[in-house]
Amino acid sequence: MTGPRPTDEALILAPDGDPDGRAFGELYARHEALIVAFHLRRVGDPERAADLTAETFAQALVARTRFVAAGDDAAVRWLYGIAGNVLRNSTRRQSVETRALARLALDRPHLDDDALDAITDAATDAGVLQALTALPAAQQDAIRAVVLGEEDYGDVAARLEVDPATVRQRVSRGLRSLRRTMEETR
Amino acid sequence: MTDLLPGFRSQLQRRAGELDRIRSSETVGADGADRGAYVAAAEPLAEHGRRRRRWGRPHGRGLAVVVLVAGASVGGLAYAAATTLWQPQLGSPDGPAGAERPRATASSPSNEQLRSLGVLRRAQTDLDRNVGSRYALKMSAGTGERIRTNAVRRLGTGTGGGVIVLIPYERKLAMIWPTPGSGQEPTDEFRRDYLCLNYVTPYDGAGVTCSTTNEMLSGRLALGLSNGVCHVEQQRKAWAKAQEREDRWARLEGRPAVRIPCDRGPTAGRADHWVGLVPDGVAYVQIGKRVGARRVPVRANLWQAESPVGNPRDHVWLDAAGQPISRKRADLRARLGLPLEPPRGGPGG
Repeated sequence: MTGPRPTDEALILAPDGDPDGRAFGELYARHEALIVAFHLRRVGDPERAADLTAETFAQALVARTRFVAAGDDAAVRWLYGIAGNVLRNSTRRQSVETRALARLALDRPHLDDDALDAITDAATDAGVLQALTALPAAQQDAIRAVVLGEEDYGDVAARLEVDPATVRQRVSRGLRSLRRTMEETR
Repeated sequence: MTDLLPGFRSQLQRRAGELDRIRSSETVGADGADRGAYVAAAEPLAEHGRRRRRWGRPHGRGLAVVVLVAGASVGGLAYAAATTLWQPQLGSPDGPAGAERPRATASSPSNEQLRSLGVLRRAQTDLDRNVGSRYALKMSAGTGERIRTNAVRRLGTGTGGGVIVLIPYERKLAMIWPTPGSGQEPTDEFRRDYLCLNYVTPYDGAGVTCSTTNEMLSGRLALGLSNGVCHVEQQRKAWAKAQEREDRWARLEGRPAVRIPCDRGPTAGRADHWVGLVPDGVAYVQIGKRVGARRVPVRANLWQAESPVGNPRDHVWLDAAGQPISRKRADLRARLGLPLEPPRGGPGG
């Protein structure tokens, strides 16, 4: 891809048809670490986090044409929404959901010890959580509550005594900074 | 940039390109309105994947296989094989493998597995074949896979009300990932002598994790489950739904499920109940290396622990006297009377 850096929304919508899949591959690369961290924080097991991450992106690919770019960071909210659904469904079923992976004939990641360690390192101490602590406190609180804690924007806004739009803005800006930091450190 | 999930991005990217070609050329109009057709268009890809997996198509399907020797001696080890091959339903016709479901095989577990796991050396009982095991077997789904049904063992009951079942495979499909950065594509390969640890519940779903014998010997065959305490209302609803659908199963088990998995609340998604398989001689598993860390007992090669247990590789195995058991491959193999490494191409993978 040449020219200015495409937005996440452009990578999902892929106006050029994404004939070689590079746009979606780029979307994956941008968000892989954060989605892994999202799952790892909840399940505590790198193998399950990897499976959940793979299913999240597979579902995103299947649902790509249903994406509507509305509002700030719609792509991020869409992706985390899918991740949350995958996690909830898997928790309810007590097994990692692999519906989209099976439908697309994608295989679950097979990870050796080094890969498992890399996931744990990249997604916890050395990665996202460290980057998270570098954010302004207000953005940290908003991300911890909305993204990691899956609280509603409205609930968080009421607790913090701010407008829901402010919470959205903090999450949006915080995630953007996080992603930038993650890309720079990898 | 190094991918955390080696090879997955290239796989995903390839599919994205294929899907978009299908979308633009066959099924979806320029406005992208025909979304259902778009998703359906992925089916040929899935079928392509299934075709790739077919390996040694079965012949003579439906013939009953009879094990000629009961209580066979496998490499000097007593293996109490059943006289006939147990042929429960394997997989589901609605599953991804469709009609090409796993098949039962009368072969015995590998020598390595028999030497390592006493639970496989004992005779199969009616309890091993009860509804919990049958449910787990219905959830197996690999095309061309072979399950050693006579070696299926019910290992115990989990605190979540589910049943823990060991399913040994003669061969199981596995994705083999190339070295990261090598540029090579991942490949499908049948691996011999896989062990799958299943946790099935009478209310909803199941968990499963599989490994080679060597991985089991290194403590990697462990499964984390979420049995978080639900809010009362959620529990009530979930239980009502479970009663409606699976009450019969709970009755057959002779005891009601006592806890319901929940998908909301403060413990959502946390693996707070662990089960794992360890070789003979391990009497306790110490959770963590810290002196004085809690220990859980091992029964029939199975340990269970409530609350997070960290990385299973950090556990310490203890013998009946409470002494640590070395998990260095050579030490452990010597202790179990196994050859230093399995024969090339042979069992034990």
